Amino acid sequence: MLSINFLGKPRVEYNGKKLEEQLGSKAVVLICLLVLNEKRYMSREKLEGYLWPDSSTDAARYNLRYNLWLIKKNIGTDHKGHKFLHVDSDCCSINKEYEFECDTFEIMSFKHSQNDSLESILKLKQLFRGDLLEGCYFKNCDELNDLIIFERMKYEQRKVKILKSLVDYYEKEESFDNCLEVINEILEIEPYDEEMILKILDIYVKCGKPVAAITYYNNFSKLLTSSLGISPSNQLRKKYEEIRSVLSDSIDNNSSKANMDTFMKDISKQENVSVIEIISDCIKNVDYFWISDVVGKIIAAVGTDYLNQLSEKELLDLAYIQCDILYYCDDKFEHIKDYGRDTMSVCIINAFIKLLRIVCSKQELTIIILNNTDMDDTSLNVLKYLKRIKIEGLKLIEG
Amino acid sequence: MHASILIKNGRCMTMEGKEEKKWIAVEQNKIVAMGDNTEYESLIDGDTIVFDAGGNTVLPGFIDSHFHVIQTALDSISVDLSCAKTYEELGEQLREAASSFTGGYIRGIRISEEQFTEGRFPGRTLLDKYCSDVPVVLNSMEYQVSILNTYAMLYFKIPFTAEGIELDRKQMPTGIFRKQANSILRTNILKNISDNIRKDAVEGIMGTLLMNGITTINAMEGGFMYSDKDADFLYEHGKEFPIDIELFYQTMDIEKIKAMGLKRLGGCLYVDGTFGARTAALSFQYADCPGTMGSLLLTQQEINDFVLNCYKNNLQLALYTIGDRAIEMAINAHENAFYQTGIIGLRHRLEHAELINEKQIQRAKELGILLSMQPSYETYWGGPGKMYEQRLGDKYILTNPFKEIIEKGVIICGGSDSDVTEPRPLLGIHSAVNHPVVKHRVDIYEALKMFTCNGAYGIFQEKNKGTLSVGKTADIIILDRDILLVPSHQIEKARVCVTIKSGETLYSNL
Repeated sequence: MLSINFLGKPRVEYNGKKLEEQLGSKAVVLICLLVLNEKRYMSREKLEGYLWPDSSTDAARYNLRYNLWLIKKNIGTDHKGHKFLHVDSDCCSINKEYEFECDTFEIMSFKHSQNDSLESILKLKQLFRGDLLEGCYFKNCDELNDLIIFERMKYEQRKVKILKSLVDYYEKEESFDNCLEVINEILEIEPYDEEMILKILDIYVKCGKPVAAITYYNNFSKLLTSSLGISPSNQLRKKYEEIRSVLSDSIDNNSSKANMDTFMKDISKQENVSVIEIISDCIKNVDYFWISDVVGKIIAAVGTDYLNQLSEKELLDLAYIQCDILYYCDDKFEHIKDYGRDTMSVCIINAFIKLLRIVCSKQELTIIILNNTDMDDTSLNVLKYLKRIKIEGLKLIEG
Repeated sequence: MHASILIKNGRCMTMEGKEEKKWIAVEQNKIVAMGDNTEYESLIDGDTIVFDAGGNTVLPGFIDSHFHVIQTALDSISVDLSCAKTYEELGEQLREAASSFTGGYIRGIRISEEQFTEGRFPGRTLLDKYCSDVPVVLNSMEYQVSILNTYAMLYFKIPFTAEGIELDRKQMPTGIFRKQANSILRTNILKNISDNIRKDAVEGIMGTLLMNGITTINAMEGGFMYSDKDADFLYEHGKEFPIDIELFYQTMDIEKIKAMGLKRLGGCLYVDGTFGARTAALSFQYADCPGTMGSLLLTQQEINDFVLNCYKNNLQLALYTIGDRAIEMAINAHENAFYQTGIIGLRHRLEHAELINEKQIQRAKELGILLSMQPSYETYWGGPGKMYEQRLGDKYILTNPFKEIIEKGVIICGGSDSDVTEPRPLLGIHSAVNHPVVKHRVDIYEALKMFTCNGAYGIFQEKNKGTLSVGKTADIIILDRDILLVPSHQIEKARVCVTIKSGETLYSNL
């Protein structure tokens, strides 16, 4: 029985006897070419072009003839008496009747379906021992080298696909340990695949291990930062926040409530939730000046955390009148082409009021207004509105 | 008392209160005496090595405060392709390298798309034309791009499914790798570099460093675009080299740093990117790319948490910040950590800080933050027509405001950022004195401090080195002229004649 492996270091075995040395690298790759093209005859000319492109026509012909002879000599018939190769004066191919085992052949003939058995997928997975024709490079054989690169890409994609189908299978079966094992194999190939990281977090949560999920996220986040200099995607961050909030609720609802109360009191102390006082000023006839001044001073006083609760649009609207916003926003503004556009007044004012509401929901805010007689018209109208709606925690002192 | 080395007739700048001496005596690894006249005669015997400085400057050994040791060392055994203007020129350099190839692969460095008349990176088939029988790996200037020839594509493990593989019209890889693909590929390649190669390469650059008067370097190793194996190697073998190597491990893994018993971390621990790639986080748009303001790699909350954790663990932290938005975020995080812990005195550093503004300088001063800066950037990229102006427009005049920083009382530690620029402190000193923006220029004494006493302060070594006084480690250099009398535009022409490290003369052409 003939058994061939092209993934990893090539192996050719006939009736238990290893043949790589007898055949040599060109004969092995010749077999590989014929296997990859198993559905069609390959012309001798084409094969010569792949394998001996810089030899003379006669030399290439001789080389091909010799290597075909070498293959025939070493690889005998199958148990039904079929010969391995079909060779005529123009073309060559693998004999379709010949029975043999070959890793690439099995992988490419596998058609994935919902009904695949676990055994069949596992068997396929085991065939991936390494890259196609690992360790092989053929000097001056550009077309052949290109083909190997192309095929390596194809098999790598195939491998990931097969591993992902295995993940789906284990997930459906709720076989989480196996699932994690396979995901880790995928991550060895694609260490930054966030879809797989999400699955890992999900699995940890399903297994009742939210702390492990948080730890895993933190490690992944460090890897992204240290390797690529980026942060996890919004989707992944959202998942992480969800897990954290569920964990925090569960702690709150359990026996450690007393500890949590103490902890929260400590946090309150640290956050210094007392009154924030800002002194704002006015300039006559400069539209939005007072509002802009208040926004700038709020940011200076309370930092950036509250800004995260505004949408990108709202931040941009505020940035239109207060450029300090730009200091505090990270990649939100990257590639925004229309910064500096003509923003609607109502948008700026709504964003401003929302910011005040956010700040006042956490802390008491006192705004002292100097030179209020110089206040611009828009700000004056907004001030009147603020007095009407009376935001809890907001104190306006005009001086 | 006996002196094993005596330096006489020198203008010995102690770098302590502008005090000068005429001679220095060294015994074993320490400075044992200094003086103004000829009292040294009793210290000399037949074994004493006497250097006559001839009235020239004598200084403490230079301290380079930002240096990528392994990268510099590997570059020294690589082909520098920065001067190739065409593919043809690049190819010829590769062909020449292949002719003396001894094994492994050919590593070409410092290429950029702009340098080629063709205006883009060469692909693998082009590299094959010049070099097809050896694996070739080329790296762009800032390691954001790798390019492989076909042999290397088949030789190394290629991350075929990762994002960032460039494909041609036939969907074949061009050999050009960016983003994730570049990162995974670089990891695959770097992990195959053995410690023996690292050791040989680092030994190979020691001569150049000593020739430039460097006796101590701050080694920024590991992490993003580098390899943790580099940092681990220096942790293990750093003391085997003739100059002092202070490791800055570029990781956010505080537990690992603690377990290793290190007192500091960071270096190129990125808060933002670079001006070159327009990824440094600015508060305004790039002049040559409207709509782009760069990006921050961490959120304020993430950086707050990390910085706070460093404070709580009493670790000195060096954060990479270039744009003013990144600097702002880093200072915010330090303020937050300081308010929460009250801890001060850890001498935290901002690396590069090229676009620091006046308010930020003031806040850095209040927090005791040091700035680790690279004056030679101004020679490479500063002034009209150069990269800073291309990226920042009129705001190029804001970069590296050395004078304002020093006047506000913030300490600047000088570095080369080798392998990004050459490891030559005298070029850094020249650049600080000759800043293209006149108001940012500093006097020669302040520039010398950046590479001597300030460098020592930046690593808590001011009691041992960075100045010349009795009892200090004998890290001393002699220059070929009196640096205080040299016209400012000629400072970079000064050369080091003698480098003494811990009492041993390791370089001399006197």
